[in-house]
Amino acid sequence: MSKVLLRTENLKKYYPTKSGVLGTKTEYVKSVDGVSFEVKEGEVFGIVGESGCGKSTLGKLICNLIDKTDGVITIKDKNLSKLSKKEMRDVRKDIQMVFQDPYASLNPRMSVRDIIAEPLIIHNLAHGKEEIDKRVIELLRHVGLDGYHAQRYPHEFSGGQRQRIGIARALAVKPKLIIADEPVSALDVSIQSQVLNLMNELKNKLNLTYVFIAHDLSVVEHISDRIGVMYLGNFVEVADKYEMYKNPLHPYTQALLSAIPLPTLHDRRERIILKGEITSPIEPKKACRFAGRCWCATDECHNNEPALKDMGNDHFVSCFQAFK
Amino acid sequence: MQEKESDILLDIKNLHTYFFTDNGVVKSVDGVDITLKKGSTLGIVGESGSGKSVTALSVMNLLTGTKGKIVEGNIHLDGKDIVNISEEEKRKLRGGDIAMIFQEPMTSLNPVLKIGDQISEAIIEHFKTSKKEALDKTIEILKKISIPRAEKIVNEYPFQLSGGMRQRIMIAMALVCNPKVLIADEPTTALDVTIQAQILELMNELKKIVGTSVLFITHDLGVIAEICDEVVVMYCGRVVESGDVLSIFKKPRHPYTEGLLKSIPKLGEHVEILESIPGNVPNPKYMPKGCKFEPRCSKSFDKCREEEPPFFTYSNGQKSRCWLCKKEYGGEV
Repeated sequence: MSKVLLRTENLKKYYPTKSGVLGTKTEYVKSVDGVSFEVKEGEVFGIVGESGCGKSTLGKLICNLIDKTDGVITIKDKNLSKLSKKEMRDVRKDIQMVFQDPYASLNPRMSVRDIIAEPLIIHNLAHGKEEIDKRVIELLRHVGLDGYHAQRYPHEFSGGQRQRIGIARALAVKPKLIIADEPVSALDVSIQSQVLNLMNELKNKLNLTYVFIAHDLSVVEHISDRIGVMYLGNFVEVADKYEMYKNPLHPYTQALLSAIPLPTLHDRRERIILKGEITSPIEPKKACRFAGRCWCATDECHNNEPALKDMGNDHFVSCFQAFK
Repeated sequence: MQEKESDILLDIKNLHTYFFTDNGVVKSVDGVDITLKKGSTLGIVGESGSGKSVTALSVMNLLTGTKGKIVEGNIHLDGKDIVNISEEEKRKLRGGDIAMIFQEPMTSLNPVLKIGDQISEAIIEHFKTSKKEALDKTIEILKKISIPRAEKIVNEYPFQLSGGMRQRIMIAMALVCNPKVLIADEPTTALDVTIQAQILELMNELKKIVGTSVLFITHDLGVIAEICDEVVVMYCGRVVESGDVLSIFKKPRHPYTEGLLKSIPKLGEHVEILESIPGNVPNPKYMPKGCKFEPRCSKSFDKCREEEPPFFTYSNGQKSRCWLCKKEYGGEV
């Protein structure tokens, strides 16, 4: 059994919004609402969900880029909220993030060398121009670019190449965990597969652990070992990818699987078309999050909130109908 | 397969649309032939920069005011030339016989106009009706595409609606004048999968009810497989392969189509490494002399570098622009 690298317990992030006539009433957008999960060393944990389900917020919470409202995050058995500033800095080195938009996440005024060298300098990992240059070139080669690219600026690269630079920057500090937030969704199909293959290769070579966030279930399924499906601030189903695909238990997962247009020869399927849209995450009432759009919801679903329950085989689901 | 003249609704022949920029000429569309049959849905698939949107804009005559110009070629709608006509006639055509749905429902609706006013505008413009009549017709159409609370929604503003709802409004707006051709430019790309499924289903139903022919532009082969009858694959401003959807998915004849199909992760198929197309789309300023896909193609040989292949047509109507289709080089044609 490999060790647990990342664990969250009852993690919450609420955003206050003012409403009422004079902005007197404060309501909360429950962006992430009580998420508990574990990621083991060397594992790829995929998070899928639609826009507004809180998947990116969860990623940022883990990286400590935003403050949590409540809950615990532990990395390698260290509770992040109990660390001093200096200790936090060390842990930060272990967690790096790759962002969605390779056009916005690289500073256009910095050369590629400076972009990749910055984390090295900040964390004091390389000294002197020569050592830094050597390390930058090594990192560029890791991600399939070349030494001569170092002197260029981001605008000289295509989307796929920029994403490679973003990955090289994340790798600079030799992290253990990489949070990749929609790393391929801004890329064209033919480039998307190049980047996915690169991430897979790097994982094996450098012994990395990924939390891979995306809205595209087929991409997540391809790269992940385990998948968590998020809906309105929490996981509704967590399972091994084979299990998830073969035996989806939550109606939302079933709908999601059926909604994906498949690029294959097949009879055009009878799909499950969900009614309505994702409901507002403002103060959801005590009920199953999905009940409003679910075709098998009963009174129980509208009045009680199901919690994640192990159905055996490490397959967790929160649905009253599936429990039966 | 020889189609009857009368079956063809939209006929694009040898279309060349160039953009004359300060840094030189960009040949966005460089010799494209597309025929759309009555009542069918034709998908145009390609990566960013392949010229699929510019083809659509050329058909819509929406290039005025940009640096783009149709420099060669013809577009016929129902046998009528729609390129060399007066600006007045073009206005009548847009939103009348040809309507378009855009990718971004957030930015293509006017944020300061009520939904009802935006949809009525086209009705008033094309049918010269009164405001009242136009609004009644608007509500009727909204109901037809099963938008709940149609009477209320006409008095709301775009920001009050969700993305899926806005896209439905766009569809309603495009359909008000019973267009012969509906051009949908990535209509579901900005939407979530479950909402995408709703919109695709809606478009499929509408096709049956209204009988409009659809030109569906997307980069998602999955969406193509789901709703199109025919496909055109574009690369670097050219059509590289075309044919009916089943033949192309069963046996792609162009290495680019083949590569695209293989590079998409498929649900339930577990492979360690995805096949991918190496390299990038070439810079439009430095296009290769021969086949435009040659630098990225694993099957290329000398002939590909020397001369750009013409179309080779298979007996099932499938066409491919690849030398390997020729008998001389081991193909079947």
